[in-house]
Amino acid sequence: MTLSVTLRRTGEARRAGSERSKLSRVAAQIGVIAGAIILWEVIARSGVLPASLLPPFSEVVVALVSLLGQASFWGDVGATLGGAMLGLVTSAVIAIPIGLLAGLSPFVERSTRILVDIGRSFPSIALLPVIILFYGTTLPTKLIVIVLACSFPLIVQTIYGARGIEESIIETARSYRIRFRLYFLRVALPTATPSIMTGLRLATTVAVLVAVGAEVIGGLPGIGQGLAQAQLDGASATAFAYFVVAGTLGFVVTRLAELLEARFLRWRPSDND
Amino acid sequence: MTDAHAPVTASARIGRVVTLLWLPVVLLIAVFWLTAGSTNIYFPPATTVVSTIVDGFADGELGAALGYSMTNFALGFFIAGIVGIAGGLFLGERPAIRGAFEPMLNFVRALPFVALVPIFIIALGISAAPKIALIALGCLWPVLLNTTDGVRAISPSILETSRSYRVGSALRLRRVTLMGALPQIFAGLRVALSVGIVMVVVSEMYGSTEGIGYYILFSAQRFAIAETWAGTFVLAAVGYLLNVVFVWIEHLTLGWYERRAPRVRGTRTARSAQKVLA
Amino acid sequence: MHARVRRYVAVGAAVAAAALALSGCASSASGTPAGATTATLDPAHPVKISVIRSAGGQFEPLEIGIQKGFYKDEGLDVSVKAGTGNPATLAPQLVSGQVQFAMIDIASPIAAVSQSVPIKLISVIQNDDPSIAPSAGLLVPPGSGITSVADLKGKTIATNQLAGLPVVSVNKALKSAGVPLDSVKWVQLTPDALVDAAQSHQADAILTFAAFFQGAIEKGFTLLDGTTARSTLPRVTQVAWGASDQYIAKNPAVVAAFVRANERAQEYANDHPDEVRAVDTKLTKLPADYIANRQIQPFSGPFHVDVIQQTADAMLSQGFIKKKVDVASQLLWSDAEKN
Repeated sequence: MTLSVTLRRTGEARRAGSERSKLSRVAAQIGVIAGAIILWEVIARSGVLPASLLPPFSEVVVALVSLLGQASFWGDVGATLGGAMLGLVTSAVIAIPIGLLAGLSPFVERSTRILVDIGRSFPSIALLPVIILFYGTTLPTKLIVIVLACSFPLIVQTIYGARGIEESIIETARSYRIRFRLYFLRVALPTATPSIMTGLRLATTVAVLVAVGAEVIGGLPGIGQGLAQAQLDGASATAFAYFVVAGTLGFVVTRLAELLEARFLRWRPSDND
Repeated sequence: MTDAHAPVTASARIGRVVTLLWLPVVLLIAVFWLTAGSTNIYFPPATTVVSTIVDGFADGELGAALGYSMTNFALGFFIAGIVGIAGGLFLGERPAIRGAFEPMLNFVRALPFVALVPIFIIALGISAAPKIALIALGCLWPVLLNTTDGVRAISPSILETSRSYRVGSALRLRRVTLMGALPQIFAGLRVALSVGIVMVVVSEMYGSTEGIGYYILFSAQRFAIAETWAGTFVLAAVGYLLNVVFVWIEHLTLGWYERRAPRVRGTRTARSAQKVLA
Repeated sequence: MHARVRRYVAVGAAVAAAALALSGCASSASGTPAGATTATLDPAHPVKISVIRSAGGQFEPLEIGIQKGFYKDEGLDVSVKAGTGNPATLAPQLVSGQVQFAMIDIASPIAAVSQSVPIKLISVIQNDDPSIAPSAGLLVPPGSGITSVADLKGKTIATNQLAGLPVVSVNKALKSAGVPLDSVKWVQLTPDALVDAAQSHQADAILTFAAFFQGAIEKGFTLLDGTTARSTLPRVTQVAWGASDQYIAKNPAVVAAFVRANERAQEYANDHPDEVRAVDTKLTKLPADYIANRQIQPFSGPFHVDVIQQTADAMLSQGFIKKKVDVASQLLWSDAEKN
């Protein structure tokens, strides 16, 4: 009985301790962000850079608040997010089957290795001038660039996942003569899934970044275009507001992807130590 | 998967080379064949693009542009590498500080630095400096985040062992932490390579009079389609070559690491080393 | 053959194209082209067209014309898209049929046509009128030692569009003054950064326009004589309507109707400058005092073929284009008003 009481007390103490440290961690995080904001405000107001180029944080907040009330702003957010997600899904549909195939068949992996290596080091944004010439400033242009940028890392991650099946499992499956379809669904796919989820998480950040980048460079509708237009209009506080929104969007989307990935990784065998 | 264990006869080696090359070669031939005699303004014949590339190098234009951009790239990449690895080693071992900075770092890495180009130019001048700074800024995040992850992934027992043996902290940093995180650091550097190539183009959008990114963008502005394709392919080729060289360096460095690491079959550490080598 | 290439490349975007159709972003015209024999269109069955207007100003007659129904009277249902300020994207959109007409400058269609991109200019929106105060040009910061074109030798000039008419014009002035063109460094920046670049001595002179130009003048910048198009290429066309060869060939009646409606709107705009300013206030982010006080360049006029040809020749000798362009036959619509 004393043992269970002790255990309960230790558990409570540990939970209370972890709650305390969680609170202090959040406090530290807020401290870091506050410090950065103060630094920004100081630099902006010091006049090192001309005010029209780096507006103070306070002005940016004002501009941001007024943006939130405009329908066109939310349209831009939708365009960026929608384009990024559509591009992500498209590249997942293309990349995951190819990655699985390459992961399971050494022949396919070797055949596609050079192409995948070329693809993953290819600066898809550099293609933007050419693609715009062809498709103009519309959704297909943005999608092509996003799909190009996201697919190759996703293929690589999927190959890692599909190849990482422990040899003992492969041998067991072979000795039991399990049919390929069963093997694929019950062994290969579940083993590859954590790596695929990691790949999707990475691809999500890339998709949003590339979407905004394409919008700024190519003038495609979205947050990036709002940014560029504000710069053209000389409204630098609004431009920075868009800048902050872009970062926030990428951050939020990445966090969501991380949470999703964590759910899939819960059953993954932990690192032994 | 177990290539390393297969006997490497001459015919096996030839077979491997053929497997690696057949698909790219077939696709290349297909591109040349399909675009031959093309009258579409946006897709000139592949032969035209090739001759544009050759001409570009012959009169020195492409060579100079590449030289300028790649110098900036090398400097920016190097700076990002040093700062990223140092920062990652620092943060990886201090979970409290890392936890405090985490949301901030994740926010900054999602920012579209392309919008900062004009600010960098005003602050640093119309020269190579803003471009190097932008490339460094873009390359920093993959290196920093991957190094941090790499340090975190070192099994605590190894760290504790080195601590209990009273290995001095400088030595421990070099021999244990750095070496332990090395595969992940290389992974981060490889991603930074791709990001850096993109930043080369982005950094030359404004305030530029030379460089391969400038060449691509300015050719597109003048509707010089063949030159635009030429510049893009040259840049992609350079990016690929850098990647190949990098993988080779990785092989050499981590080959040493692989030989030293405990050969426990099925453990994650050995397998992750295998993944990196493959 | 090239259709096959197109399909090969677009295979990755096939899903994207379907998504595009679903999301309804496409703005291509769905109206049937009018027969070549009918001179006018039927207002009862208007043809839907999609046009791109310029990002900044000069589109006021278009808006006025739509408001007053001039286009409806000609049997046209016009939907307007705002441009992005990047002229290189306009020609491709015309050629691919995404839009039917676009407001375009003079330099980028010359470059496009020299590379056999099939577009034509159909009517003038604005020619550069010498009697109006310049609203764009080469400015030097206060305290600068540059007083003449010859002083630009070895200097850095910042602009927002490297391959545009103002640059061509300045190069022409440099040539006349005997300054070697490669001794001048041209640098592209965003328009809001130009004044700062000059004030922080990153650039020795800037090429800017409209409200930015006005703002710089108020900060003490001075216009360098002899560098504007006024001196080098007088009466050159600044903005015009463009369309693709294919559309012109298939829909001559629509083109004619559009040009007629434009003329009517532009004449009206010339007579009612207050309504022009009202459009500026409503649809642009130009500052209020700039809108109230700016001198408005008159709209309409013929294409002055000789000056445009000089522009094309200058672009050739300055290296912006590699093949000579014959303006009358390659650039201008056969039925365009010219002299």
